[in-house]
Amino acid sequence: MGAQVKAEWIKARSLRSTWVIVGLSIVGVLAQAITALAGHGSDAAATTQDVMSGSGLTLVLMVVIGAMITATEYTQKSIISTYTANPNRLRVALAKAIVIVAIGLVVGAISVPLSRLVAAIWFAFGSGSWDAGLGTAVHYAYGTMLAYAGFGILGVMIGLMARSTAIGVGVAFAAIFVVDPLLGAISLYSDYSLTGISNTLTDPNSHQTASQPAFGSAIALLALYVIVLGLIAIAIEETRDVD
Amino acid sequence: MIEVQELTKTYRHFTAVKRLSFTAQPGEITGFLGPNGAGKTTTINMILGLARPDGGEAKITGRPFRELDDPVGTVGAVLAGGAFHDGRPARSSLLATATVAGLPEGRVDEVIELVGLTDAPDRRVGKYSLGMRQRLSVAQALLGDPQVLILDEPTNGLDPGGIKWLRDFLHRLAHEDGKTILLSSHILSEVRETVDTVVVIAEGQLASEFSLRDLEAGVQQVIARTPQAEQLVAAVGRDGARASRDVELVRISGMTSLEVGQAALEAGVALAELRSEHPELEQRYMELTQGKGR
Repeated sequence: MGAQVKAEWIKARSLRSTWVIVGLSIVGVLAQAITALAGHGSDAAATTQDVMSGSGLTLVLMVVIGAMITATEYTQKSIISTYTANPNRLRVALAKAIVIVAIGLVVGAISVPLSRLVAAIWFAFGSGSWDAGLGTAVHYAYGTMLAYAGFGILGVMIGLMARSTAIGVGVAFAAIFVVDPLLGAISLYSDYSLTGISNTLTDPNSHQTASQPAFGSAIALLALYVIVLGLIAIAIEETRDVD
Repeated sequence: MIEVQELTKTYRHFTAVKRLSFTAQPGEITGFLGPNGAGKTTTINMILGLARPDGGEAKITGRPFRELDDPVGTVGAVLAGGAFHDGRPARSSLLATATVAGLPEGRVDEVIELVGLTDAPDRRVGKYSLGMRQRLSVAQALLGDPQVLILDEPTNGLDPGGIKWLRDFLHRLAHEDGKTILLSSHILSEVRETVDTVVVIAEGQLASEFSLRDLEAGVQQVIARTPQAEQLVAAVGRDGARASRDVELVRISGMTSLEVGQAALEAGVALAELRSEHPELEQRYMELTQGKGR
């Protein structure tokens, strides 16, 4: 399993698109912080919340990179090399998921210190204040990392089922960022929506609303979605031909 | 050894491969022939575990591909069109496969050198010519030094030098190293020069399986061109061969090209050209597959 993970990392790191998306993810984090600081008011807690909550753009990009890691293997036919080197499809899918988790965790871990740095520079040269001690920062970082990693895995599994980069990215984007928020308007679903989960995880200090699960519940729900979608994707993959 | 037994694959109402059985033996190059759409690639995909058969089974060294302990060290595959991401450097593609197989990084450089890609190992595959991609596919197939090689249309895009290199290379692997080689192709000239045994399929079914040597031993014809055509006809005639003459061109049946060359040497006949012709393979292939292309 370790060798397969290493191979998947070699494949991911050797593509320019991986680094372009990771770069854009970091830009997303910076843009989020700067936008929040530019519009900040006198409420230090609200400013902290806006500066440090994970970027929506970065969340989208984590889904995109996850879908790309699997789907491009099919569009480029390199999946043939992958499966002739290791015919155990479950292991291949798990290895890809582990790689995207690592990328998501690293981007998430970078995002909070980066936001703090931007805020520190901003406040050093201007007015205003914020409330971001180490404990707060760690809490934000923890939730953001989990959200990026979890949404990355959802992208991997959607890409595995779609087997096409365009369809995979399109379906992932539509399902997570269009259909899910729309369904979130239905009260029965709203407590379990991915939108609510991502809001809670990337902004753990936000005021909880009826449509947002608590932090612990959000982690459990995201894990559940990842496991269910993963099992479906792998079960389908095991029965499908590659040609 | 590759054993294919009663292999069947159906797509909805279309049977791509129907109860196909054949074997590819160690130490031989087995040609896998058939017109476009005959089911060659589908069969190879089933052998490699990429497609699930609806019936029968395919085994490599006695086990289905998906149950092999060391796939890279057991089978190397060169598949039509290649199996590489255009945006990835060639060396990284090989390194990923080598890593899965637990091979040292140095092995990647060895196979790159072996196939003559040392000038461009870090170039992205999308920038490779078709011939370079084929060489890269061969490099990947050889990474684990496997006992079995499966090649689907391996000469596509290769220049004449590349084709000769591949042919000589495959001969060495099969005849000196004892490897099992299955070579799929629809180019008869390529097959005739390369393979030992021929498996012909048409409409997904086995049409015939025969040894090329046996086939050619039957009606081999040697063509010689010489300004001393009359002397050559007389010389081979003395050895019991049948010969016909058309100005400088002599067609001889019942002798190999080596025997004709020796007869010419002994008779003091200067040869401008000497080659074998095997009209039988084309003829046999056409008989077996006529009207069966999809």
